[in-house]
Amino acid sequence: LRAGLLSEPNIIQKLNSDYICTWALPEEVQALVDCTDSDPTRSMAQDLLANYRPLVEIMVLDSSGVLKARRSMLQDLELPYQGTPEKALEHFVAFLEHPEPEEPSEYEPQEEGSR
Amino acid sequence: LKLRHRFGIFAFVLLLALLPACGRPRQQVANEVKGDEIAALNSQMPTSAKWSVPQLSESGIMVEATWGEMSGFDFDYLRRSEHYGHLLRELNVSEPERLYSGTDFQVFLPRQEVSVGEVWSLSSENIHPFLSQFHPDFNTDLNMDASGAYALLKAVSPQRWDVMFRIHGQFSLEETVYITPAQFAGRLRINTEEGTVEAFELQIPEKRAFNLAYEAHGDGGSMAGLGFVTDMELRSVPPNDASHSWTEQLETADAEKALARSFYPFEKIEWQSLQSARTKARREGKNLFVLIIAGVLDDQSC
Repeated sequence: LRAGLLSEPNIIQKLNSDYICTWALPEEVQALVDCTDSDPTRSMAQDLLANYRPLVEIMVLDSSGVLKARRSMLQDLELPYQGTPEKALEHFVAFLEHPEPEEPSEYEPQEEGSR
Repeated sequence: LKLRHRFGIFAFVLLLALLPACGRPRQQVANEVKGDEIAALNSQMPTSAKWSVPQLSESGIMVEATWGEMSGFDFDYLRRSEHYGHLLRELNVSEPERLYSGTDFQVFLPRQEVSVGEVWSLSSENIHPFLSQFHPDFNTDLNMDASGAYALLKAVSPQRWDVMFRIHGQFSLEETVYITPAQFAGRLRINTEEGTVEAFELQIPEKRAFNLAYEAHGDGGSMAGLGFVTDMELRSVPPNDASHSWTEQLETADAEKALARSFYPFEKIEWQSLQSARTKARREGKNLFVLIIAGVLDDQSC
C-alpha cells in the first residue's frame, strides 16, 4: 500500500487536491470514542470502527463526516488484482474520482460457522 | 475476538513480508527516493544561508546503551517458542557503555555545506558501529522500501549545530529472528567553535501502540508479529540539555516530516490527525479520505 498505491504521484496529487486525508490505528479510533467530548466526533469515530474490516480499510466520508464509500485493501484492491498492479491503480483512481459503495466482493471471507 | 484480531495482525505482517508491493517493486521505489527524491525535496526548501561543515576533534565522549523489555502478545508468544524463545530471553545490550572519539561522529555530518532543513543521506557502513552497541548484527540495507538513514540540519548558530537524523534497519539474531524497530530517531549537538560533541542521543520513539516488529524463519517455522519496546536508546553522558540561542532553526515537527519524506513518497500526502481532519473537511467542504490500518503507516514497525 505505502510503497505502491499511496506512493503514486497522481494518487498523491489527487488526495492533496480533493481530499482531507487522515490515517489512524483502530486502537486510536477507539480511544477517541472513549475520550472525546464532541458528540459528532464520537459518532464519526464509531462509524469508522463499525465499518473497519481488518487489516486495512480505506473510507471516504463527506465533509460532515458521513460515510460515502469504503474499500478493503485486501479484499478489494490486493487479492482481485494480484499480478496486475496497474489494474489495482486504475481501480483506486476510479474510486477516488467517484467514491461509490462497493459491489459485493467474491473475496468476502465467510463468517465462522456459516458453512 | 482479540485472538482473531491478533491472528489478523500476524497474517498482515506475514503478507507484507511475502507479497510483492502493489505497484512498482519496493526496492525500486527505495532507490528512487535515495537519489532524485532527496535532491527534489531539498530544492523545495526556501533559499537560506549555507553553513560550512564543522570538523570534529578527537575529544572523547561516553555513550550509554539501554534496551528495555520487548512486550506485547506477539513478543510473549515468540519468547515462549521452543525454537526461537532463547534468542529473546538471552538478549542483552552488546555494549552498555562505549567511549567514542569525537571524530567518530563526523559520519553524521554532511560532506559539503548545507542550509537549515537540508537533508543528506548517511552511510550504512559508517553508522553501523553506533548501532552495533545494541547488537553486532544490525543492517540498514533492507530488501524493502524505506531502507537507509537520513539526517538534516535542524538548527544552527555561529557556535552550534543541531542535527536530527532517522535510521531504519533490522537486527538479526543468529539469522533466524529479525527484529525491526519502527525507526531510530537521533539528535547530535555540536560545539562548532571547539569541534566537540555536546550531546548525542538515538532512540526508538514510544509515541504509538507498536514500535517494533519481528519475523522468525527457521526450524520452528515462520512467525511474525508486532510489539513495543521501552527505553531502547543510546545517550551521551553526562547529559547536556543547555539551551542555546539559534540563528536559524526548523520546528521539530517540520524536521521530522522532512526526514519522513526522505524515506516515504506517501509522506507528501498532507496527513492530518483524525480530529483536525474532520474540522478541516467541514471548513473547506471537502471529502475525507480515511485510512484505518492495523499497523503504523509511517514507520517500519509493520
